[in-house]
Amino acid sequence: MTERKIIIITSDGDKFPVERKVAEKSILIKNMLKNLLPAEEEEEDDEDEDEPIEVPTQNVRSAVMKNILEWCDHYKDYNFPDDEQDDDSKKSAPIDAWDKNFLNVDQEMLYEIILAANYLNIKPLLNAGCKVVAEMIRGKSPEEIRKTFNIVNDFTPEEEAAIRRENEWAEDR
Amino acid sequence: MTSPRSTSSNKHTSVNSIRYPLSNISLDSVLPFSEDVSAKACETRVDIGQDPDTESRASRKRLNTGGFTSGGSDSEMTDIAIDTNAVVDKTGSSPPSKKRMVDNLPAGAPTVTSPSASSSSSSDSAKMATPSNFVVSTSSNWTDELQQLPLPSPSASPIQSGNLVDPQNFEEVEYTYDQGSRAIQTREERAEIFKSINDLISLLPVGSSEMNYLLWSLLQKTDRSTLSSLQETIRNSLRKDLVSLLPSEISMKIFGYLDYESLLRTSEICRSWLKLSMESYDFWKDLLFKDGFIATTDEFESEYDWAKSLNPDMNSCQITKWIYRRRLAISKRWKNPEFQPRRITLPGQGPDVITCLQFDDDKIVAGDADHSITIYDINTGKLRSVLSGHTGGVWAMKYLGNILASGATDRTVRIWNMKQGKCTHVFRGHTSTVRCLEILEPKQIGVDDEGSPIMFPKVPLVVTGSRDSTLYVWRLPITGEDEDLPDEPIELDETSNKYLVKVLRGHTGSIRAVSGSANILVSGSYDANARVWDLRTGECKWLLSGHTERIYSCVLDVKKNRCISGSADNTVRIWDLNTGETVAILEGHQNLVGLVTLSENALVSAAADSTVRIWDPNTGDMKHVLRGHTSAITCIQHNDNIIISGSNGMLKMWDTQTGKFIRDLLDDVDGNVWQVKSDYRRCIAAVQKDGGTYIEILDFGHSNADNLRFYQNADQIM
Repeated sequence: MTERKIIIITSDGDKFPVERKVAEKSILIKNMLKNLLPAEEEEEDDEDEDEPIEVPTQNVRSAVMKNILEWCDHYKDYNFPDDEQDDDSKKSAPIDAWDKNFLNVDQEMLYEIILAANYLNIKPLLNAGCKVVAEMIRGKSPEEIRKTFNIVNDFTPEEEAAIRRENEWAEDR
Repeated sequence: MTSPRSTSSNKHTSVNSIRYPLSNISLDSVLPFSEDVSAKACETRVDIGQDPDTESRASRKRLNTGGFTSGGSDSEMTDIAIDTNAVVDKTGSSPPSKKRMVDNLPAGAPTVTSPSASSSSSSDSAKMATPSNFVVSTSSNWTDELQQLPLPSPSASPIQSGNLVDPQNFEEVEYTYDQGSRAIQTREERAEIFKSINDLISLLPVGSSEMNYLLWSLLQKTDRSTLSSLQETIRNSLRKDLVSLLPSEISMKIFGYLDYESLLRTSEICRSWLKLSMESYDFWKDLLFKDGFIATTDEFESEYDWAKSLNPDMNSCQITKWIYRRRLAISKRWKNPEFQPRRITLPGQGPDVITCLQFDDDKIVAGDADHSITIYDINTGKLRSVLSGHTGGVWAMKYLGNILASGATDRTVRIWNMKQGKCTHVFRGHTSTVRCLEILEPKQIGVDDEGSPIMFPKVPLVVTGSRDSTLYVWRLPITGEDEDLPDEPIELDETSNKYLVKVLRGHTGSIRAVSGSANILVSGSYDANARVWDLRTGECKWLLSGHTERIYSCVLDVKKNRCISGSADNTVRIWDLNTGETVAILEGHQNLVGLVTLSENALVSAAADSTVRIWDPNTGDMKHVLRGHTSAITCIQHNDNIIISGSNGMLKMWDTQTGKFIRDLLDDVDGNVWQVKSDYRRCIAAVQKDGGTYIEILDFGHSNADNLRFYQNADQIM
């Protein structure tokens, strides 16, 4: 039984043919396919067996999808453990080196990858993306953080001082 | 390929002049563009143009617009960008984006071909690719001038002299620069040209194919060092407030990965971040668990209720933050040798050995070798009740809620209602001293076919280990705090005891230690073996054989499905409960290992050789040897932050991570330290001094210390 081809169509109309296990890294697509192909046995009788399944993804443009699929392809043979389990230890786990390198992109792309991972329901990628952003915050001064994210300080000096005072306890040794 | 022309000032102005369109492309951050800048850029370029070195490098170049021919629509442009990425990605699985960008542009931009290859054939396609209004513009004079500007191309072909430009023919985009043509241009003319370009750019819609086309054309004529600066500029202009722009549930996830200091910092950035940082109490709750300040949900909930009652005006986020702040402050006190905890010394009930000790926020319970169990109020230190009934020394004791189980040399197990101070049941069956016991609470061990959780045990169990080599499993009889109880306990022998679940037989020596969770129980015996039991069936799953002397201590590692045992053969062993095999033999102690304890990140053993050792719980590698005691270690307690160890005359505290000595907790003990237990704020020790037995309470959570200044209402708290 040959596997039916899957073609992911991006918001800007590009078509990406992918292996099923790559596409199924996205739980959204996985569930979509589950509905389209309810039982494996029936597939053999299916007249349209050779016809590829087209999966439209309205919210992801081609350049982002290309990155997403690169990630999915890298992890296609890896089964991620159930995300709900053991959350504490996972939270403190450092970001995977490959992911870190993979996500070393400009902020616009990172933003779109995170949004796409959220939309496509690819939890491990979403987590990795969030960790990368958290790394951009960690250990930095407020001024450095503002610079990193192009943020304008919209506090009055009095407000800022009040918040600082409120947070002073962290420095108590 | 680096360009000798790119002096720093040149680089700077080039970037500025290009910034305008780029910032239009980005969503925010429009960088101001002024006539000054353009004039300056122009001026700089004129200077460059006069550089003889530039002249020698002047190159003839042909713009092949073939890459855009099939339509020039937005999606076509996007395709080009994608292809660009594809080209790069083939070269490496994930190159850093900096490299990606520099490499991409030449590859993605229209390629340079030799004029002979397609000079006439490409003319039609170039026309097609060029939008009509663009064509109109290009036919004007400035186009010709523009194309003579010395913008170097990264992929410029070698100099070919003698090819003159036909300025009227846009399709034949073939130009040769030479010294003379630029030398005659005046400053004014050049300023004019730049003004025209600006006019054009301001006419073109952002992100339009025309704009993109123009941009690609410009990029194609940009040298590598400018591209490099440009890349930095692009990167900067793409910086955006990810946290505020992402959906708040994702932003909260990001904050959830922060440590407490960074999390606090987020409230200082701007209003929208401040709002987000106050959005959820989960940040601080998760941190309390992650940083090891709180271990169980029950503990968190009771702490939360207590904090809420003290700060009724605070919202849930403020309360959890307040709890974190308090726990952090207290944990810092533990590690500060200068800090003096509040100390209360309670006289014991005689000179006897305290054999077991347990406490909570309400009470301290101590069992002694003189038949009795004593309950003290932990806050006032007052004696609350003495549980009498055993006719031999109490050697094992644990409580769950209000119900206490104890085992003694009188061979009985007794169950007590602590609130009423009454013994409710006496279990007989063991034929020798009850030496150890464990209480097992119901826990989820799986799900059934319908997805409902399977709990085991159904009701709390107490398992008792005895010198008679058997383990008895009993259901724990639970009586209410105010339940009407008979004056005399119910006495049950083995044959008539409905609470008796199983008798576990197999060991051939006295059972010294027992540890369990849910359905798994590990027992350590003087027969030098440990056994793993499945309480659902009562069967012995594994006989852990390897030690050559008595086992004195064992602990179950539920998370890793392992267990650890300490023996008189001077070793500690880690066992895998999936296979029953030894994972590691931990060698180093020079004498009987009487105690092993486990926390998330540390395995600690204490021995009669007067040392405490810290091991990696995963590998069994020794991390630290704690030296300082002068006699056998008699008791130990630890978490991931601190280790407290007792020996004759000493109670010492160490740093779990570094293995460094922190302080002596007691300096006036002249006898044994029998027991030590601690929680996040208190250390309770049972000690011998001046010939008597005392319970010492060291409280690091009390308020009258000047470095807890932020606890305004702390006095009523603690």
